[in-house]
Amino acid sequence: MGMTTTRYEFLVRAVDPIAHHEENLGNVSVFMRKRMQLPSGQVERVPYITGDSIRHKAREMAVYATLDAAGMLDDPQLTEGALRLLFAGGMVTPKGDASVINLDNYRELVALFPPLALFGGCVDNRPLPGQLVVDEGNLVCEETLHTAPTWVHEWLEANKVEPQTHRRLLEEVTRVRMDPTLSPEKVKLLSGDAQVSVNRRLTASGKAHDEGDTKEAEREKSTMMPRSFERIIQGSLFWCALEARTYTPIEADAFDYTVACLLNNFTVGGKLATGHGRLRFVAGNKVHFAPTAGSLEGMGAELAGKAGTLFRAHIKDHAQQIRDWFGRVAA
Amino acid sequence: MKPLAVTARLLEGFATRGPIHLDALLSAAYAMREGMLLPPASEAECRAIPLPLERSACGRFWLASVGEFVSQDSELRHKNRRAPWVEYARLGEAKIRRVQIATGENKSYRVPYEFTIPANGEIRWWCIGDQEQVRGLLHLIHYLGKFRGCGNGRIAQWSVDECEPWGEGFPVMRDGTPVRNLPVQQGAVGALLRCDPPYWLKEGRVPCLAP
Repeated sequence: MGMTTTRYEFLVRAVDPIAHHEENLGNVSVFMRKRMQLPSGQVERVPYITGDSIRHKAREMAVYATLDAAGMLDDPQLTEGALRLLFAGGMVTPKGDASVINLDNYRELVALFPPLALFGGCVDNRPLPGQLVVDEGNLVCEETLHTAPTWVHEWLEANKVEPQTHRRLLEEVTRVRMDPTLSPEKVKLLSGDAQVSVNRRLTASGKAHDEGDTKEAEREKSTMMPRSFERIIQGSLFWCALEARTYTPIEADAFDYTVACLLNNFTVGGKLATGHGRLRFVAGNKVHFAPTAGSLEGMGAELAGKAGTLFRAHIKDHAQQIRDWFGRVAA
Repeated sequence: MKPLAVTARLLEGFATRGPIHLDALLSAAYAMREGMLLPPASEAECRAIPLPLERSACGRFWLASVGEFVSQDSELRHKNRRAPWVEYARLGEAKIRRVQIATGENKSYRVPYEFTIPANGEIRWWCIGDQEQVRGLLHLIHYLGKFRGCGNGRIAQWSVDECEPWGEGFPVMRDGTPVRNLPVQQGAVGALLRCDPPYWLKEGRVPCLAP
């Protein structure tokens, strides 16, 4: 099998609001934005999900799926180097000989653990380039639509979805971390001394406010912390894509399986524990690249059931070799 | 072999630290197609790659330029790395007891890089080569520049057209200015660069005039 380039393009819907931030300005977290040239020639900053974020999620999914197939999740006992390689791409270490590429080692590595061929990594002082590209998650809005694939336009039209400006899809919400000492029933749970101390502070704080003593009020203030953050509203659509070059049927199957695992549990951004970040697959296409063109195939049926059969069988058959290899990898 | 103008139309923008040589792109496409997946670590490991381009009279470089574009806009982006310490705790062996994230192998980092949006999304190269074969190789390249793995530099369209040469020096020198790395005469002063792919390799650098 020669080189095959395959691309998955898909639309996902935000089942929860998405909180994916680039920085904090005081107590406000700002949503990740990128500069984008509009068809008019103007440049505008539009919200998006970074490719790095989706790529890391795909990497996690591929690694957990492989460890599961190898029966290593019950008692993994992985070395630090192996974990770094699997979850962070490894690093150039002083171990190994950078001046010589051990082709046998390389072939053994990618044959045993196909996701590493896709994601790349640093092993034995050598960076191995990956074969996978993960596109950014683009918000479906007026400003980004000109970069969307044709089938996305067709899908939106067929489903009567009117893209809106990104400003209508972004909201700012405020949450507050409460100070438990402001709640009388919680103060009752404190020891006697602590209750006295809390009551003294509340009295001093009230007095400072009454007297307009800002310095004292600041010193005695509660630890209640309001904070605001931007988020993409629930129900918004994003279009994403993953593209890989594969050279063996197992690599191709590993890629299909990685995409299937990612879409099965697709989350991005922060605040996952408080109802943010879940994305659900809506529609998609698998693009098979010919030398000068591409053909589309619906990806729902393609990924259901059969994806990963070859890959999981391969991992199961080589489980002991994988375990041994992870025991000695320097990454 | 004909004079050709090659244009890449990018979907958004790209990241790069230096000029992108057309012969480097074609070599990368050839290497991908032929399954030469490990980049060479030294000059000795470099395999000769036959490109559908004309060689210079001195035989030291391909007659192909670097990519030219007008920057419409740019922004600062960051590459982050964080040690997977949660996985260390969950999946690691008992020997892993502390993770030092401020220094050493697990040091976290946030490296800035520039993301450039070219005017009209276009980058243009010139070369003397075989139109069909150049087109065939370029169609294998879907992303351009650095950090392609996270979606930077996606190409919407390649076009390879015959063009009228600008005159003497085409396609490597224009108005006395080099449009690719050109080795200088013996004894002359120049920046130490390679004049053949892979351009990132430190071995094999010679004094060159550079764009």
